[in-house]
Amino acid sequence: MTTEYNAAPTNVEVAAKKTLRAVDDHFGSAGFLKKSLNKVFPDHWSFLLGEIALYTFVILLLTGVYLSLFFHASTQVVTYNGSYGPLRGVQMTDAYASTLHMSFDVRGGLLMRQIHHWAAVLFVMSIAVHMMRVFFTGAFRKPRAINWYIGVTLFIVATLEGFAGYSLPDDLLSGTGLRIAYSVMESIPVVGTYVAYFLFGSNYPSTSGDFIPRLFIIHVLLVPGILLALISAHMMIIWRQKHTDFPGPGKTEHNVVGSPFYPTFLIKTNGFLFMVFGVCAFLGAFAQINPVWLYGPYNASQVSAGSQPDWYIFFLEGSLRLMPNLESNFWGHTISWNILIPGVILPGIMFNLLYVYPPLEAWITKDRAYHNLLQRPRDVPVRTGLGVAGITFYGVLYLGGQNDVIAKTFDWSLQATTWVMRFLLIFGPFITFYIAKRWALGLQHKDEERLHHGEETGIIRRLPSGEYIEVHEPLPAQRQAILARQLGQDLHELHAGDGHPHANGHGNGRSPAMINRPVGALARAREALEGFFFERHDEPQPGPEDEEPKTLTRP
Amino acid sequence: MTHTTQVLSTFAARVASRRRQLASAAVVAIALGVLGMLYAALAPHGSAASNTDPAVAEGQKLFSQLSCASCHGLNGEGGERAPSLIGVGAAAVDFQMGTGRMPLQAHGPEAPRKRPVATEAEIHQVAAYVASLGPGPAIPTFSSADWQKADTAYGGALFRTNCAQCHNFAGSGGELTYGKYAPTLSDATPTQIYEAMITGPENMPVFGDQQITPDQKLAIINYVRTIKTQADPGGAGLGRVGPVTETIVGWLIGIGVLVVVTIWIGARA
Amino acid sequence: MSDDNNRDDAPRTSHEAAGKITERLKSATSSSGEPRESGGTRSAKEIPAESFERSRMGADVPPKMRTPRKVGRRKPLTPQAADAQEAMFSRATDSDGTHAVPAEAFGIEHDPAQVDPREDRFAEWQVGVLFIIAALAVVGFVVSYVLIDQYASLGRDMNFALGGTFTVALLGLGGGMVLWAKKLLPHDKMVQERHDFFSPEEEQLDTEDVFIKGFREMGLGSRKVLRRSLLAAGALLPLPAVLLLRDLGPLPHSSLRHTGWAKGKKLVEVESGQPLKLGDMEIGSIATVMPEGLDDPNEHALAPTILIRFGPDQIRSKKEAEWGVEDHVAYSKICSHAGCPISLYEQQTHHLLCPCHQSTFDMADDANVIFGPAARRLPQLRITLDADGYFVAEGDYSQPVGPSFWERG
Repeated sequence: MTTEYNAAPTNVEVAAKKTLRAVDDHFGSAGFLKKSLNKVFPDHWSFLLGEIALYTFVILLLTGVYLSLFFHASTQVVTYNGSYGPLRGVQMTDAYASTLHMSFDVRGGLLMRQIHHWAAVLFVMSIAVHMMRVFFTGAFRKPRAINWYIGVTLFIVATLEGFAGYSLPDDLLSGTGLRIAYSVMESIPVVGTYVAYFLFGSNYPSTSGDFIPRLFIIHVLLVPGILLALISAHMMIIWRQKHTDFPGPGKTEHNVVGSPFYPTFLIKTNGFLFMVFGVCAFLGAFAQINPVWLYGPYNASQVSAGSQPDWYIFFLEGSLRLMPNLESNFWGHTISWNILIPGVILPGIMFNLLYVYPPLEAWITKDRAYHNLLQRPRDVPVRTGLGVAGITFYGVLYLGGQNDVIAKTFDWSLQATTWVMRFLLIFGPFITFYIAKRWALGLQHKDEERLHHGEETGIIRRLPSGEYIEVHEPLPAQRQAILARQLGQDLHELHAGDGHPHANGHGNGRSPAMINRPVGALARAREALEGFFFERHDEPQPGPEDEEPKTLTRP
Repeated sequence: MTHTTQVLSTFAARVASRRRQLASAAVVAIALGVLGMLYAALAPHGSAASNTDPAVAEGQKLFSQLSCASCHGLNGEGGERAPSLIGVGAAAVDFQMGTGRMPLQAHGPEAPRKRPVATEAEIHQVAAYVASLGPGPAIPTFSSADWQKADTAYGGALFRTNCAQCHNFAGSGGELTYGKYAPTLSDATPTQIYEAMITGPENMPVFGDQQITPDQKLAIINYVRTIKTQADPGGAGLGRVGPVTETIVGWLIGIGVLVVVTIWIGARA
Repeated sequence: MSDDNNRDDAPRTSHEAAGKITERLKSATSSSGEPRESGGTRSAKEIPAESFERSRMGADVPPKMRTPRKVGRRKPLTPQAADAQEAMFSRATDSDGTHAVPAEAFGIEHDPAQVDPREDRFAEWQVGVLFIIAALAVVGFVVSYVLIDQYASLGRDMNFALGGTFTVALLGLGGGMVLWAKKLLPHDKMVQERHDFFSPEEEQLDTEDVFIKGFREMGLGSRKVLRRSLLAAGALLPLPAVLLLRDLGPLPHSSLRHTGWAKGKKLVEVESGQPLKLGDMEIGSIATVMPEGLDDPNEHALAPTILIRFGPDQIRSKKEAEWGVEDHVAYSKICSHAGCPISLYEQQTHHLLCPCHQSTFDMADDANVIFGPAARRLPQLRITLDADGYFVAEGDYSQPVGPSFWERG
C-alpha cells in the first residue's frame, strides 16, 4: 500500500537478486531457500516462550565471552588492592580478585556481569515456563516425544551450567554451595569419596588448586558445547516437524496456519530478541544481583545467615532441609540417607518422571496417532492435574529452600515452618491434583453447555406461557466444530439430537466395544490407568480428523 | 502496819517499778544501739557513688516509674519473669533501653527493637542505678573519629567470622530457632553495636574485650557502618539478602514483562 | 436447539470447516435463522461477506472493527486498490500448497494501518521514532562511557548510565521491529500443508534394502570371528580415556580422618591469630579457632573448631565436661550434615544452629541433634590448659569430622 507494487525494482532489490543467483550457482539453494523463506509459523503468543530461552542463551554467550576476557580461573592467593575499599589488603583467590576487578575497575564490567547473571536466571525460568506450556497443551505427543527428551535434558544441563557459573567467582555464598555439593558427592555409597576427590582434585576445597580452572572449562567450553548441540537439534526438529498449533478457524491436523517465516516471523522474532536483551539489560542496570563484594571471599570457616543458591537449585536445597535425619551404619560403613535421598535419589526420580511421561501417557491412553493440534489444559483434566501436582511438589521444595528467609519475613518459628512444609510436600500434590482436575472438568462442563445451548446473551424473554427464559445464541458452526473436537465429542451425535453425547453417563473408561477382557496384571493395570485418565468420558471419541490410521499399517 | 509504812512501801514499789521500766528501756536502747552499730559495721556497702551520686537516685526512681521493677524486682534481683540485673552493667541497660527493647511490651521469643520510652539522659541514670547493684561493663566511650580510623577490611574479616552467620553478610539479619532472630544492624548506632558485643543481649553470644579487643570491635563497627552507608553499585539492593529476593524480581519483572511482551507480539487464541 | 437450519451444511470435520469459510464469506445470510439483537452481541467473526465489498469503515461494521482514533478524514480503499493489495499479498504456491488467506477470514481484526494510508504513515513514523530513540540511546551510551566518573557511588552512576542507555537502545530497536511487523506488514495468514511425517512406503522399503544390503556386505551378521573380535576391541577402546582420568585427583586414603589438630596445638583465633587462654572468654562466649601454625581455613577445611564457655553447672553431659576444661568445651565447627561451618550459637538456650539446612545441636548435651537433617552429634575436641594457661588440644578428633561418607565406619 505504501509502495506501488508494479514499480521497477530498486537497486537493493537488483543486488539481492544477483546475490541469490550467485549463491544458487554454488549451492543449488534456490528450492531450499524458497521453502525456508515461505515456511509458515503459527503465531500464538505462548509459542514465543521457548524463544525467551533461546534468546537468553544468545545473550549468555555474548556477555559470557566478554566476562571470560577478564576472569582469572585460578585459586592462587593474592592480596587485593583494587578500588573497593572494604576488601583492600584482604587475602583472596585470584578468581575472586579478578571478579572484583571486573566489577569495579572495568567500565561496564559490572553491567556485563549482572546482565549475564540475570540472563542465566531468566534462561532457566523460561525453559521451565516453556516446558509447562508444552506439557499442559500436549505438544509432547507423537511425533514430538524426542524433542521433549531433548528439552528436559536442556533443563537439567542449564541448571548445572548455572550452578557452575555462579560458583566461579569463589565467593562465600557460592563456596558454601560448592561445599554442600561436595558433601552430596561424598555421600554416594562405595564411590562417593573417589568421585569427590577426583572432581575436586583433592579434599575440599581443593588445595591442589585444580577445581576452579576445571569448573571454568566446564562452564565456558564443555557445557555450552552440549547446550549448543542440543538446542540446535531441538530447533531442527521443530523446523522439520513444523510447529504445533491450537485448534481454530481453518486449522486442521494437516495444515499449519500462521505467518510466513520471511519477512513477518523473522522481523517479529528479531524484535523479540532485542526486547529480551532489553529486559535483561534493564535488570542488569537497575537490579543488583550476586554482589560478591558483600559476600566476601570464600573461607571454609565462615558462613552467612540466609545462604541460598540461585533459584533453580532451591528445590535441591529445600529437599535437603526438609529431609528427616536418617543415616545407617553397618559393618564399618555409613550411608547418609539424609543427604543421598534429597540430593541424589529424589531429583533422579523427579527428572526420570519427566522423561518417562510421554511414553507412559501414550501407553495408558493407547494413543498412537500423530498430533499436530494442541489440547487445552481443560481438555485433559488428569494430565493437567498431574502437572499441577508435580508443580506443587517442586514448588514446596522450592519454598523449602528459603524456609529461614520465609520464617524471618513472616515472624514464624523456623521449626514450625519446616514442619508445615514437610506436611505440604506429602499431601499438597494430592490436594492440588484434585482441585486442578475438578476445575478442568468444570470448565469442560461449561464448554459443553455452550456447545449444546449456545452463548448466553443476557436477553430475557417472556414466553407466552409466562415463563422467562434467557436467549442463547448458538455458536457459529465452525466454532462448534472446533469446540466439539476439543471436548472429544462427535458433532454427528450432537446434531442428531440424541441428547447429550455423554448420555452414556460418566463412564469409567470402559469401552463398550471391547469384547476381550485384559489378561495379565500389567494389562489390567493399564486398563485401570486408562479408565482413570479418561474419567468422565467414554473411550475417546474418534475425532473428525482421525482419517489416518491410529497405527502405522503395513501391507 | 501504820499509814506511813503503807505510803512508804507504795512509794518504794513505784520507784522500783519505774526503775525496772527505765532499766528495761535502757536495755532496749542499748541493744538497739549495739545492733545498729553492728549493722552499720557489717552490712555491705554500695559503691561510694551509691551513697552520694544523684544519678543513681534518679535512676532508682525511674526504675520503678518505668515499670522495670515490676519484672526485674525492686532491687533488680530478677524473678520468674525477668533475669537478675545484678552485674549486667550500665552497657546492657543503655543497649536495651536505648534500642527500645526494654521495657518489654509482650513476652515472645525475642524482644524487638522499638521506640525508646526514655530520653538518653534518663537511660543513663537508670544505667547508673543498675551499675550500682553490681559491677558490670560500662557504657563504652569512643568518638566517631575513633572508629572511623579503624581498619575496615580487617573489620570485615572479623565480621564474617564472628557476626555474619547470624546477622547475614551485610548485616541484614537472620533467622534463629523457634521464632528467635538476629536483627538487622541498619538501625544500630556504633555505641549500640559495641554494647551488644560486650553484653551479649538475649541469645547473642558475649564477645568480651579479651576475645575481641576494643580495637577489633571498632574495626567491626567501621565495617558495619561503611557497608550500611555504601551505595549498591548494581542498582537496587533488593534487601541484601541474596538470591531469594533476586528470584522474586526475576519472576515478576523478568518473566512477567516478557510474557506481556509475547502476548503483545503474538496472537491471542 | 436453534441450529436445525444448519444441519445440512454443518461441517463434519474441521477440514470441511476450513473449506466452508470462504464460501461462508460469500453468502449474505448469517449462520443462524434466529433474529439477532443489534449491536454488541455479534462477534467480529460473524461479519457477513458483503461488508467486505463495501467500505470497511461503514456504519454497520460493529464497534469492535472501528478504529479507536480519529486522525482526520480517512479515504477508504477503492475496489481497485483493494484488488491490488490482494495481488501484492498473494504468494507463489509451492508443493506444500501454501497460499494466503485474508486475515479477516480468521476473525482477526485488521489494524487500521493496513487499510488507511494516513494510519499507515503514522505507523511508519511510530516505528521510525522508536528506531531514532534507539540510535540516540547508543550515542548516550558512548557519551556516558566517556564522561561519567566510573568511581562515583562505587560505580553505580556508570552502571545506571550505561545500563539505562543500553536498555533504551535495545527496547527501542526491538519494539520498533515488533511494531513494524504488527502494523506495516500484511496480516494475511499463510496456510501450508503438513506432509506426512513418515515417508512413502516404497522409499522406506528402499532405505531398508540399502541398509540391509550393506549390513550383509559388511558381514557383521555372518562373520563370527570378525564380529566378536571387533566387539572385543571396541569394548576395550574407551578404557584409556577412563584410565587417563585416574590422576584427576589423589585417592582419599585416610585424609578424611585427619584434621590437622594434634596434641599440644594451641587453640588460635582465626583472623587475629592470637591464642586464647583461660579468662579470655566470658560466660556465653563463642570463638572460632584453628590449630596453631595452620592459619588458613581453606588449606585445612576440616580443622575449624568452636570454643564455647558455659556458666557453672550448665553442661549436662559428663563426657562433655570431662573433655572440656573449666566449663570451656571445643567442638568441630564443620556440620555433620553437609559440611557448612556452623556457628549460630544461642547463648541462653545453648543451641547451635547451622544456617544451611537448619540442623540444631544442643551444646549443653554433647552436641546432640535436636532438629534438622543432621544425623550425628558434632565431634568434640579434647582440650586442656598448658603451663601458661593457654588452651591446647589433647590430640586430633577421635572420629572423622564433617559429613558422613561410605568408609566412615
